[in-house]
Order: sequence, then structure tokens, then C-alpha cells
Amino acid sequence: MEIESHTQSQPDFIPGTQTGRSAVPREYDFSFTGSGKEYFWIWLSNVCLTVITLGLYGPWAKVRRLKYFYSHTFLDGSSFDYTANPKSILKGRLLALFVLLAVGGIANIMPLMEIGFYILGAIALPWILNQSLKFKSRYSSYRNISLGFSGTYGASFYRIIVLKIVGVLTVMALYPWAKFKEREYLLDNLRFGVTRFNIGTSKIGEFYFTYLFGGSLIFISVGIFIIRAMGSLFFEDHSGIGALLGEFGAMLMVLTGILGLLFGKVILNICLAKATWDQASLGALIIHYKVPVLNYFWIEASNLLLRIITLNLASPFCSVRVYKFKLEYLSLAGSCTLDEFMRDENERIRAYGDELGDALDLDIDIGF
Amino acid sequence: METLRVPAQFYDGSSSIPHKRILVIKKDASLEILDESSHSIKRINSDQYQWELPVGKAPMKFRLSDGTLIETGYHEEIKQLLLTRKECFTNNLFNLETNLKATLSLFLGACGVVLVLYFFAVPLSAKALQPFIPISMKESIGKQGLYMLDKIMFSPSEVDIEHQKKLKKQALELATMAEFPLELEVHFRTLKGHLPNAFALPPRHIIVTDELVSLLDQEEFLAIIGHELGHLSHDHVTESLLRASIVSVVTFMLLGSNPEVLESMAIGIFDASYSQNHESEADTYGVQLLQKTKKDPTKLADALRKLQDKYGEESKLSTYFSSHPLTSDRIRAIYKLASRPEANKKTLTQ
Repeated sequence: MEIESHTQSQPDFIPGTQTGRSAVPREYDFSFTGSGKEYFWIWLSNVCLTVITLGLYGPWAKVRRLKYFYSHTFLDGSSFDYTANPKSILKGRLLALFVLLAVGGIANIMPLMEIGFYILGAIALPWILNQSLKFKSRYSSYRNISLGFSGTYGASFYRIIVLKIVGVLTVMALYPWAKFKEREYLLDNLRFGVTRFNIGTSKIGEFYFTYLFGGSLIFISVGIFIIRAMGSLFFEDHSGIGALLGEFGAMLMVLTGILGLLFGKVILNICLAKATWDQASLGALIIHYKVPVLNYFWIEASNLLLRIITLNLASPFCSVRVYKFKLEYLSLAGSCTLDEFMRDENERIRAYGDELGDALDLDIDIGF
Repeated sequence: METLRVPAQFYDGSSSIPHKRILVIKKDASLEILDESSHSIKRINSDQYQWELPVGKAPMKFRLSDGTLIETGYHEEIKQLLLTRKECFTNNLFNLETNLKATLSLFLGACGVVLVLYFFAVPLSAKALQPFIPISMKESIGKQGLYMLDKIMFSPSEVDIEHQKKLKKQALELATMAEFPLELEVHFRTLKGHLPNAFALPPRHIIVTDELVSLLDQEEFLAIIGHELGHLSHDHVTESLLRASIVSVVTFMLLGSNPEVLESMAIGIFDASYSQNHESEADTYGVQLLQKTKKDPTKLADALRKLQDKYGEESKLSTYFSSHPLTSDRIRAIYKLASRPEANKKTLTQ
């Protein structure tokens, strides 16, 4: 009882700072006990059932996939859990499909409405995003304590829509800053029980570095495409660049472009995740995430090759490999223990937002 | 009565403190929680907790109706006992992956569904929906399509106006003889740096590039118009658009909204292979039309051969990724059709 009253009176209770129970700094590593071989059969039955039911099984497959990864992930002797109800995800997915079809249909008949839909979409986006994050975190738990997300519509609209537009309008000069602001919003509103995450010190420099590194790869790849397209637009048949390279050279160019784009995105994402999570904190615990980018790149590149060779049958092995690799570099350290987190009083959210977020392909992944 | 006894951790749900406990699972699926010195703390009836089959050999979790949680490692015996005791359809379904035979038959079933979708469900539903697309919508698709192409690719034709008029007149005559129900419009455009080409846009537009006009003689030109009229009569573009929409709905249902690069590429290849049928259909229509109008049907083959010389023959492999069948195969098929004129007459009028 004492614990509960304590929780309610101090919603921003920070473990380790008030109890003073454990002054000796400790480090907690994550571990994963699943295997590609075991996951293969789960993945296969997921894929088959989804196809046979024409997708209706999809939400169950999603829950089982996440359950597999969460419940095989251990931290300090306890495993994580994903407890979402597939039925609510299915409802959300059907609603999303219906909205997309209706919008597509109306826009086809009345093209002028399309602009209206874009505006409506931009207005709805922050809400969908928040709902989605609330849903995901609400059903992710550890030691019977759920995560939570408490972003507001206004903050979401400003950080995710307005700042992004500013970023783009300044010819990307302010984009890394806008991205940092977005990540800061996402992380600082994420809670484990009542304890908030915090992105840590200002990481604007790291975000700029990330975009210079990963972004330049994407930039070069897009450049290759543009040169290829210009080559065929402005030069006569088999002259100019086309003749210089020949058909084989042109194919190679397109391939380099595709690979550059693919791997540019991979590098950008891992660098963003690293910048976001490394040195972030959860209460008095500091998160360490020092994933080596080049090794990670090698894992992704060899995975892609493996999947092409095996017609994607290697996909479950690849997923486990990437997940294990990332977990290896993730740890928590600090002077408090993992026993000191308190539950937040209930949050009840429906799945509509979550799946709409999925459907519209939003960049809301703050996964590590 | 006692059957299984395992070490467990108990979480009260208000804090993250783990409490070491001993969990006893009885034959009737009821639970008992003991402290470390085996003193009973709590008894739980089988209807007072939720248990779900773990995915893989993951820790087992018992959610009590008072919001507390007991977590223990994976134990095969517990699984067997609870599967028989706490029966539930989904649990049996979720147990599938441990049964090799069941998974493999599921796999075969899934392959069957993909084949049915690919060969029947998707093309047939596209065909079935086709009559419901109003002509005004087709007009706007055609107009917008031409507008976009003009913006990004085409420049105005450099073919002499008189020559254009003459070709247009011949094309219109051919359309009248084919009993094409709409007023055909032929557009001439330049496509610099590209190989000769002709396109059909719904419901009544044919676009011919200058490069094609200069490559072909008049009879060959008309043969190509016949081929494009085939696309228009069968309304192939509308069908493709419908099919693409259906494919995207099916994809969304099967893969969720974020298909990965590899998956989208596979779908692209599937989609392109449908269009190969369209080319053969249009070729057949073209040949039959030329025969009906007492023209030489092999002119279509001649035109294709000229194009082939320009393009260069594709490799056999590339046909699997291409929207057009192999040109040499098409030429062979045209000769075969041209050699039996009587049989064809009927199908055209249909």
C-alpha cells in the first residue's frame, strides 16, 4: 500500500535517486535465447496461415512474431512480453484498409479532393502517431510493468510535422536538427511504468554527422539514377553516356543505385538508432548502445544476399541474426537496480491508431 | 494431487521487484504458490488465471485474475498438462509449428492459395470489375495519362502535317472496319533518345512516336495500329489498372503495409507477367483484323522484326521479368495465325 501511495503522489519518481538502496553502479546486459532454427518454423506457419486466410491471420502472426522476440529477450533474469490482442489489431487493420480504399476511390473520381485528403492526413497524422506509440508501448511489458507513451497532439504536430517542413524548406540544412527534435519528443514521452526515458544531452551534432554519413550515400545513389535518366533523355540513342557504358554498364549503374539506396537507408537507420539510444537514460539508468556501424552493415549486406539466394527462406535466420547482434551492444548501467520501477495507473487504448500508423508507412520506429 | 513443482518469479504488478517463489501445478490445472521455504501462500483455481502457450521455448507466464504475474522457465511437462487441461482452439493452432507434417501441409496449402490467386482470383476479378468502370472515368484516365506523358517524356511530333493526316485517315478507316465503337484518336509525338514505340490509352487513344513512323512503311504502320486497336477493344489498360489495385489490396492484406524491397520486387515480376497475355491477345486481334480487311497479316510480323532489329533480341531469361513476350515467339505465333484465315474470322466478330 505504501508503495502505491508513493507512486501516485510522485508521478516522476526516479528509481535510484530517492531510495538510495543501491549505491554501487551495476551494468545489465540483454540476452536472447531464441534461435533461427526454432523461429523458422514459427515464421513458416505464420506466413502460410496468413496466405491461406488471405491476410486475416496477419495480426495473429504479428503478435506471435513479437511475442517470440520479446519473450526470448532477457534482462537481469526476467523476460519481456508482448500482450496485444490480435483481434484489436485486426479491427484496426480493416479500418485502415477501408479508409485507404475510400480515400483512393474518392480521389480517383474527384481529383480535386486529393489536396483536401492530404491536408486531412497531415492533421490526423500526429494523432495516429501518438495512438500507435501508445498502443505499442502499452502492450510491451517487463516484470509485469508496461511501457507507456504520453505525447500530446500539439507537441506531436509541432515536432513531427512543422519542424520536418522547416527542415525540408531549408534545403535539408535544418533537417537533422528537426529529426533530433522528433526523436527527443518520442523518447522523452516514453515511460517504463512511471519512470520516463530521456534522450540525454543534446545530440544535434551526432544527428548532423549521421545525415552526412548515411544521407550522402542515399544522395549519391539518387544522383546515379538522375544521371542515368538524364543520359537517356538528353542524348540520342546509343550515344553519350549510354554508349560510353553500354547496356551492361547502364544495368550496373542502376544496380549500384538500388544497392546504394538500400544500404544508405540501412546505415542511416542504424546511425539514427545509435544516436537516439546511446547515452539516453531511464531514470537513473544510462542506456549504452555502441553498435559498430560497419559490422552491422556487413550483417545486413550478407543477409540480403542470403535471402536472395534462398528465395527469402533465410528470412527468419536473418531476423534473429540482426536482432541478436543489436542486443549484444545494448546495455543499461547505473546506480539503481531494476527492482525499483513502479506501475503507472491504467491506460486503455484501442488498436486503430496503431494499425493506421502501419498502413500509412510512418517513420515512427524508435526501435533500437 | 501435486504433479509439477518449479521455481518461479512472482510480480505483483505494482513494482518491478521479483519475488522468488515455488509454483506447483496440479493435475486439475489449479496452481499453488509457495514461498522459498515451501509454505503455501496462495491457491489459484484453473479458472482464475490465464495461460497462453509460449511461442517457441520461451518462459511460461501465468496471468492471475488479480493482475499479478508468475513467470517460470519453459517446461515441456507443464505445456503438455495445460494443453490437455485448459483447452483452447488457438493454443492448438499455435502448436502447429512443432508438428512437421502439419506445417508442411500448411505450406502446400499456402502455395495452392498463391496459385489460385495468381491464375484465377486476381485476373478474373479484374475482368469482372471492368464493365463497372464508367466510360467517363476511362476518358479521364486516358486524358490524364497523355497529359502526364506530354509533361515528362514527349515533345511535339516533327512528322509532316499532311503525312500525319494521311496516316490518321487510314487508321480511322481501319477502326471503322474493325467496328470499333468509339471515335479513334491517333496522336503523333517525338520521344528523343528512345526506341520506336506505340501505346494505347483508354478508351480510344493511340500514340505513335515519330521514330516508329519513319521506321515502318504504311502497311506495317497499319498493322501496328491494328495491334493497338486490339489493346483498346480488350480494354487492357483499364484491366491492368484494376488488377494493380486488386494486387495492392491483396498485398496489403498479406504483407501488411510495409512490404520489404524483395517482396515488392517479386510482386512486380508477377504483375509484369500478366501483361504478356495482353500482347498475345492484341497480336491475335491485329492479325484477324488485317485478314478481315484483306490486308497481309504478316505485315505485323514484319513490323515486329524491324523493331527487333532496332532493340536487339532479348535473352530468354529476361522474358520472365518483362511485360512483353519474346519477339521471336510473337512472330512465330503471328505466322501460325495467318496460315488459318477462316478459323479466325469468327473470333474477331465476337
